[in-house]
Amino acid sequence: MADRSLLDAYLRRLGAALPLAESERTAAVEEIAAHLADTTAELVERGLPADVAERRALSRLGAPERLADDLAAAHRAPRDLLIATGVALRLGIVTVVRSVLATWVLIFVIGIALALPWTLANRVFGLGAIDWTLLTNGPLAGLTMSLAAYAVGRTIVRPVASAAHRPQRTVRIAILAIGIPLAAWIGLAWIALEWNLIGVVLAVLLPAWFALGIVRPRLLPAWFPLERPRVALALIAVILVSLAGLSVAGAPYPGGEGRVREVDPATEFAAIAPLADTEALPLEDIAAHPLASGYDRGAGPIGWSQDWRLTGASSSLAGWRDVQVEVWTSTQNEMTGPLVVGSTIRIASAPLTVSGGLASTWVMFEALPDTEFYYLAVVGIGADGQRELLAWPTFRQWIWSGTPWQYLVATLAGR
Amino acid sequence: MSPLSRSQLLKGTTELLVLCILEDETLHGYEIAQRIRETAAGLALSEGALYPTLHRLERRGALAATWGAGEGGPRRRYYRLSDEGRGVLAEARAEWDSFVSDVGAVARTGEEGIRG
Repeated sequence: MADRSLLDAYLRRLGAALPLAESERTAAVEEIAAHLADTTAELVERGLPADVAERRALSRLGAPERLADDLAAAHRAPRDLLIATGVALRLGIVTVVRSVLATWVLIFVIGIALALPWTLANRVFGLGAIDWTLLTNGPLAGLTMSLAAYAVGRTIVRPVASAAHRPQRTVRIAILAIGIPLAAWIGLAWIALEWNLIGVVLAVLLPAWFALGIVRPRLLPAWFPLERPRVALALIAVILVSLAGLSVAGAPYPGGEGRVREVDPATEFAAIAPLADTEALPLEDIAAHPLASGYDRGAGPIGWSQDWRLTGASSSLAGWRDVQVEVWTSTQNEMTGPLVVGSTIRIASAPLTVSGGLASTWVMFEALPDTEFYYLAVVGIGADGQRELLAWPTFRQWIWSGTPWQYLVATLAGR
Repeated sequence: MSPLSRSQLLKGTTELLVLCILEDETLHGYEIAQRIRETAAGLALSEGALYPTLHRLERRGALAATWGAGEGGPRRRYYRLSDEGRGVLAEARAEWDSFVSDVGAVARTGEEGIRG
């Protein structure tokens, strides 16, 4: 009896290995199917059992992968490689956009799924607030990029092979050879976000995710909405409904809460310098002292200007020399202080210019990769030769933002 | 063992064979293979090589292909010689005749020397 599955398996293998456009592939497989049917019928008519006839018909055509390669070679044209490059670029861009959107939608869905019951419970039991901004910081951004690299890897091979009319195994090697350095370059030099160490590691692993997408395209389940706009749209609808629910529950946006804390300069900053006179400092900070204020970012130098007002007569700084503004950081890396002697690091200083009743400065320095909070203090050397504090330190927040390459260079440089 | 392998010789001539078979007829792939076997039983044309040849000739414009109903089975792809294909066939025939003549002249050199 004929083993139809033998022919079907052959045609399936042929279709899977045939690097042609969908319509051309279907037509070619149909043509070969007709040929196999005719050959089998002829051999059966000559007296062969059906299963033997099918096997002989298949052996006359040779291995399906070989036939697929030969058919693809027949379709090749000089412009194929140019077209394949265009297909790769278009697919790469479209897939990155789609997958990043889909992944962030998924992250927000998870965030809202957690926020909604928590908000409701908080209203009933008073459980306290959660810092939901944790959902959107470096690691998740890095993970999003990694999933995008994986999505490109798993999407790109077959269409590019079809456009180039080359076997998938050949195209896979070419894409890996070009794509891995490209992904590494993008991950290292182009993705600039507010990275923390995990985010940086994820970005550095971008080429590995890309390669994984190529060699293990079915690693992530098919339902994962990386390339499925309809799923993403459905998730957006869920977000809108959930936001409406959160609004009713009293938390319209699951974002972070501002953390502002009054501090006592006399205890918090005593470690920076011995105080000249805690009750009558000669300089008063015009900025909203001593609360956290300002928000800047950059992997390059940060320029910062600040004014202090003289609290006494214009001659009240007359007895001080070498008056400087100093930028300090703490290895504790938080703005809840206090600064600890031995753990504070002075990273920049600049001279103070006094004009009329104002003392001004402009200081340039580079934000540190792992440090978010800084303190600024004005110090000078008094008549007794002691270095003393002239104004209360001010909190400033500078988020280090840059590419992983800049991060690695800065970290290796030991800053 | 003969230094001349038929399958090797056949490799370069598959296009010519297909063009010749289709000179006056419109046929599908299986019929072309059958017709070659009937015409010259000694030419064991690989069926796996036939379809790539048909596709290559079609893409070069030498053949025109259309889908047609099969006899009680799946539909077939029928090939016919295009106007351009007739020109290609004429050139291929002339090239083949010249090749056979040249190879023959060299192959018979020894025989003539013995006779002379």
